[in-house]
Amino acid sequence: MDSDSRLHILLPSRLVLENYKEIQNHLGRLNPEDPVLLDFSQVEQMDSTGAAMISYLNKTYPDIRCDGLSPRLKHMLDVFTGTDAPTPDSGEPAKTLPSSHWGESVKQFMVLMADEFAHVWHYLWRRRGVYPGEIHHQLFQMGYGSYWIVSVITFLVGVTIALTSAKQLNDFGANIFLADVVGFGMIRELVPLMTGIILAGKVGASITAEIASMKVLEEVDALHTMGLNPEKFLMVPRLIAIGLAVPLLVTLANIVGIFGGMLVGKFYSGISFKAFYQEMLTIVELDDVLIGLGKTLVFGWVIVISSGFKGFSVSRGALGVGIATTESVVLSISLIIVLDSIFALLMY
Amino acid sequence: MREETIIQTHGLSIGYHGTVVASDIDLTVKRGRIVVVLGKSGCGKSTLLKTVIGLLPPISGTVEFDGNPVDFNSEQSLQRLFRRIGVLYQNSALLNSLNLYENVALPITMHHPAISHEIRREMVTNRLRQVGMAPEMERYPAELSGGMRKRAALARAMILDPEVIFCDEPSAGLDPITASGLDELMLNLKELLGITFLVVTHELRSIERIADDVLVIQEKSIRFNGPFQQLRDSSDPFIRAFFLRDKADAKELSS
Ligand SMILES: Nc1ncnc2c1ncn2[C@@H]1O[C@H](COP(=O)(O)OP(=O)(O)OP(=O)(O)O)[C@@H](O)[C@H]1O
Ligand SMILES: [Mg+2]
Repeated sequence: MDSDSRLHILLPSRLVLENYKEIQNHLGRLNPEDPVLLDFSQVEQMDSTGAAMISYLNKTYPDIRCDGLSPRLKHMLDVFTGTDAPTPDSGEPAKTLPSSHWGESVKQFMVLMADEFAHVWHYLWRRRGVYPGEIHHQLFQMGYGSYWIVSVITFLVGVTIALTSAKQLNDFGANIFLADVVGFGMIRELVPLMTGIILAGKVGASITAEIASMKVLEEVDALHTMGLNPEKFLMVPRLIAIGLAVPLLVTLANIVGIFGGMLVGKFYSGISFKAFYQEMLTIVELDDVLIGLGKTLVFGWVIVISSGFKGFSVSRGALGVGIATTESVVLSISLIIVLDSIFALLMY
Repeated sequence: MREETIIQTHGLSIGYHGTVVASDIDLTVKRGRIVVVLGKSGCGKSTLLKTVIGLLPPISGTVEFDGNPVDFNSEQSLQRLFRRIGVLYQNSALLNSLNLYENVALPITMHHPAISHEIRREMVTNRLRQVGMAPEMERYPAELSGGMRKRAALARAMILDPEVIFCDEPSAGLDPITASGLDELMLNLKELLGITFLVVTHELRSIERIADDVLVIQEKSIRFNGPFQQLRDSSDPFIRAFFLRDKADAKELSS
C-alpha cells in the first residue's frame, strides 16, 4: 500500500506535555484498523510525554508508518523509549518482612523487656553506655512536653465524673459523698489511666517514630558498629526519664483533677472546698495515692518498652515509620487497659 | 609492608530472612590495601558490607577478622570486631539529635570518657579539618547537604583510628572536587596509618585512583577478586562493560 492511501496525520510542531490534550484529541479518533501515516515534518520539539504518545501508537496500531523523522528526533525517540537499562541482578525479591508469628513477637517483646531491666540496672551501677545529659533532655521533653495536656485532660475528666455522680448523689441527699467518689476514682483509676493514655499518645508515639526513623536511616546500625548497644543507648535514658516524669505528672494530675471535682461540688452540690477535702480524707489514704502512682509508673514503663519494641522492629523504610508509630500507640493503649483490668481484679 | 590477610570469608552466603542475595563468596582483604567492591545496583554490595561488619548474620559460611572467626551470636565477639573497624554508611547515619562535633566525638565520649575535654576537641577538630568540615561543626546533620554529611560521617568513622574502614558509596552525590578530596584522604590514611579500606563505589575515576584490589559481584556470586591491574587487562565482557563502558558488551549482557 502506498502512502497516498494512508490516513495522513500531520503532527504539530510541539509534541510536548503542554499540548497533551490537543494531540490526544487528534490521535484518539484514529481507527486501529486504518493504515496511518504519521508526518513528523512539522515537529520541532518533543519531550518524554510526546515520545510516549508516539511509542504507544506504535505499539497499538499494527499498520503505522512514520515520515519526516529527522535524525535528531529519531535519536530522541530511541533514547526516550528505546533500550531498557539493565535491571538489578537479584532474581527473586528478598522477603522484606520477617515471618512474624504472634508467638515470635511476644517472645521478642519479653526478651527486650528483660534486656532493658538489665540495662537500666547496669547503668545505675556503672554509669556507662548512655550519652551524657540525655536523661535530663528526655525528662524535660516528657515532663515539660506533657504537663499542660495532662492538666487540661484530667481537669475535664474530674469535672465530668463529678457532674455525672453529683446528679445521682443529690437525688439521694448524699451530696457530700461526691468527695469520696471523685477523690477515690481520680486517684486510683482515672488519673493513672488518663495519664497513661496521654503518655502513650505523646511520648510513646514520639519514641517509636524516633527509633524507627533512626533504624531506617542506619543510625541504629551505626551506633552498634561504634561499639554501643543501641537498645541501651536509646532506651535507658527514656526509661529513667519516664520514671522521674510520672510522679511529677501524677501529682499534678491528682491535684488538678480533684480541683475540677471540687468546683462541681461547690457550685452544683453546695459542698465547700474544706468540707470536700475533709470528707475525701476519710476515704482516700496514702496507700491509694501510692497505688495510683505505682500503676502509672508501670504504664509508663510499658509504654516506653512497647514503643521501643515497635521502633526497633520497623521494616519497609520510611513508610514503615508511620505504620510502626500507629501500631505502637494502639499496642501501648491496649496494654495499659489490659493491665489496668488485671490490677482491678487483683485489688478489689 | 607485610602482605597479611585481615579479612577472609569462606563460602559465604549472604541475604535476608533466608533469601540468598549472593553466595560462594571467598573474599580476601589484605592489610593496608584499598579494596573496591563493584557490581550492578542491587547485586548485594551493601549486603556483603553489612555481613562483613557483623550486622547481618550470613546464611552460611564464615567471616574471619584477623584470623579469628566472627561469632554473630555473641555480642562479645561482635564488640571485639566493632572496636577495630569504622563504617561510613550509605546514608551517612549521623545522629540527628547531635551536632557534627558531638557526632564525631561520640565514640570518644562513650568509650573513652577519661580523655579530657581539650584533647577530645583537638582530635575532633583535626578529623573535621581533614574532611573540610571544621567550620560547620556546630551545625546539625539536618542542616547540611548530603555530601557534607558524608564527609562528617567519614570523620566519625576514622576518629579512633580503626584498622579497617568500610565505606558504602562514599562519593555518591559528591561533586568531583570533593570526591577526589575524599580519595586523597583515603590514600593518605592508607599511607600514613596503614588503614585498610573496603569501599563500595561506582565512580570510575575514583576506582582508578584508589583501588589496589577489586572485587566484582555478578549474578549472585563473585566474578573477580584480585589486583586492579589484572582486572584492567581482563577480557571478560562483563568487566569490560563495567570499565570501559563498552556499549556493545553491555547490550550483549543485558539481552
Ligand atoms: N533489609 C532488606 N530486607 C530484604 N531484602 C533486602 C534488604 N536490603 C536489601 N535487600 C535486597 O537485597 C538485594 C541486594 O541489596 P543491596 O542493598 O546489597 O544492593 P547494592 O549492591 O548495595 O545496591 P546499590 O548499588 O543500589 O546500593 C536487593 O535485591 C535488595 O532488594
Ligand atoms: Mg548499596
